[in-house]
Amino acid sequence: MSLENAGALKILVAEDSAADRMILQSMLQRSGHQVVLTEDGQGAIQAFSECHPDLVFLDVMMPNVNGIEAARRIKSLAGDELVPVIFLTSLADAESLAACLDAGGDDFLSKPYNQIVLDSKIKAFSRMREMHRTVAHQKDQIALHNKHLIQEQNVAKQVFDKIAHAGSLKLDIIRYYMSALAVFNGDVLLAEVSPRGSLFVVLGDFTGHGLPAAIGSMPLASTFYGMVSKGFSLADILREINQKLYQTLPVGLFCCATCVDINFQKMRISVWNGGLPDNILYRHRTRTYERIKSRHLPLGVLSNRDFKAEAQVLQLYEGDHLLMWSDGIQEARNRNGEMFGEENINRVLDAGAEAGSIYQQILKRVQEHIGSTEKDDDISLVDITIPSQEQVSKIVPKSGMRNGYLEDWELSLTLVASSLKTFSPLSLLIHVISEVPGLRQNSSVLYTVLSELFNNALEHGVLGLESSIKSSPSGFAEYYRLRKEKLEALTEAFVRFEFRHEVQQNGGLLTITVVDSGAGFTPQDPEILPPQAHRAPNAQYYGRGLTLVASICSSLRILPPGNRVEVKFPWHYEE
Amino acid sequence: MSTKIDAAMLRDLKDLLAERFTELVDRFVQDGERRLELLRAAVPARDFDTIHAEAHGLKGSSRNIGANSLGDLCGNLELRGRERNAEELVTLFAAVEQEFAAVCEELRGYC
Repeated sequence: MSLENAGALKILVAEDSAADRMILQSMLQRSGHQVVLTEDGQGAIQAFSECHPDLVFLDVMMPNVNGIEAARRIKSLAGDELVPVIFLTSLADAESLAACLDAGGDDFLSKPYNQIVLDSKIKAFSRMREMHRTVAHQKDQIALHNKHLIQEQNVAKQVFDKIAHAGSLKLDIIRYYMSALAVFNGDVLLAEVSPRGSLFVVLGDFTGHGLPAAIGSMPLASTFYGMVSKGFSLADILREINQKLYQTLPVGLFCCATCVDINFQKMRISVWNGGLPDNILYRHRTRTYERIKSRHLPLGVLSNRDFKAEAQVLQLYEGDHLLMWSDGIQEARNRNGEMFGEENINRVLDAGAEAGSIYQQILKRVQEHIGSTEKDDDISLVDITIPSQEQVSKIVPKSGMRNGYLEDWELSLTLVASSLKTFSPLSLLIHVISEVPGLRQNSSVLYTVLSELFNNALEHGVLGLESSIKSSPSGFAEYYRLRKEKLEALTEAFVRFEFRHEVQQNGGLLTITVVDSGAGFTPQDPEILPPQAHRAPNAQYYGRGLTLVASICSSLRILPPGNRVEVKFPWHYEE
Repeated sequence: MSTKIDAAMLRDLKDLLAERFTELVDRFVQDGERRLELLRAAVPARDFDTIHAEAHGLKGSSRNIGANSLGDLCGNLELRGRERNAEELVTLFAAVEQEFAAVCEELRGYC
């Protein structure tokens, strides 16, 4: 009944009776095991260190270190590894048996030895060893993975800290509580002062935990800081962040967030809340508060077509406080698993306390609720004090001190024949125009304007095509055949774009002039009439180019001799 | 043939050890004689620790070889040693020596 090789063990036997030793050895060998024999306790300890057996049989009463002491030493040598020790004994009294177990013995084998009993004991311990080894291996794996995870998180944290630097969070008027590794519970807090002196703050709470939640913070932070510092509006920033998150995050990962734009000049706050708990505007004078409820879906849920960036606008007074938190506050649990809950927060808010003390009170109560032993990783709480006008001047840099965005500027781009044949300048021009914060949000209508002006200059001005060709059913094809032919034959020609942008009160004015090398066309042409003017029914079809432009812009002028079109496009800051 | 030894047990041992059975018998005899030598000195000296240890050792070997009555006698002697009880110690030891000689005699017959 020899065992398969896989079940073969190396077994140490320590027994001082030569006959018993021989019997046990024979039984073990018959079952396919490898046997190491010793005669006493000292020999057993030495053989154990040298041979690393899988299993040890020890006689209890042996000369030179008895079995009990040998067992103790062997167990200590084995360390974390499970090496079963089975005592060979005919001891019968309970005390002696207990002493064997105390010394680390795992079982007994009594004399006379029996092959069946012996084999089944070995099999049982072999299974136990296997299990122990698996558990130990898994434990090592887990420890290793945990070590990797922490290393990764540290690296990720360093990267994140570079992207989501403190910004303006160090301002005196901002108080906040976030755990040190908050980024890995998906919470993110960013603040930056815009060139116009408004304070932008975003508190975000990504779904999920760990790296997946933290990854979303990166595009959020880089977009936020990039755009706030260039003077973009809250709506523009929200749309851009939403778009980035919508495109990059997997379904089910999104960001509940409140974004605020605090205009200190006008003492007005614009709040966009998508999925966060109510934000609280606590009034200094009356010690009452207004709730700013979530009116939107979180960032990264809707495509920009359906996304709404409308903010709620509230008047501010000196000493008011804006309080924001993520749902970790309500959901903070104490030892008994009870949540901190809405009522506890309301109790603080309804007590009519001094506005500046609310933040501390809520924080203190939450921390008392969860106690010191529990982790308080999920708590993010922010408080912004509305400063006096004197304080504002210290906080906010003078308007225009910062750069990084276009204010007053002029640009001229002239395309000559070789470029006109191969190059469409529209994307390039839109890219430049978009550097003006107020124009960025209008880039799609401006694209239409530029496209129509360019086509008008190229096709009618430079190439001299008559749009009336298009009025017959076969005319379109004929028109484009002619366009292609004439463009290929083109030698001496140009189209020039001239841009002039001026900053004005609360916005700016963009003037676009497009000049071409053609002979010009007359203002009597139905194409260029203002939209309200009466036109022939067929003129509407092919003449919509400039009428569309005229409907978008505040003015459209055809300058003599008719090869120069000038449009004015005013814009205003969004509030 | 007397019946000092469990016949079924002995058959199993012969089967297990095959040509080494004689060696087993030799070892049993030598080991037993060594232990009896120690006991011969320990009994008159009332050296209970030695009595306990050696009687225990011989008891185990006897049971392993199927010499159950020798094992029982050794068990009694072991108990005297553990309890430090000198009652009938000499008589008991004499019985052990006699039984051991008989067992050895019988074992040799199986070789």
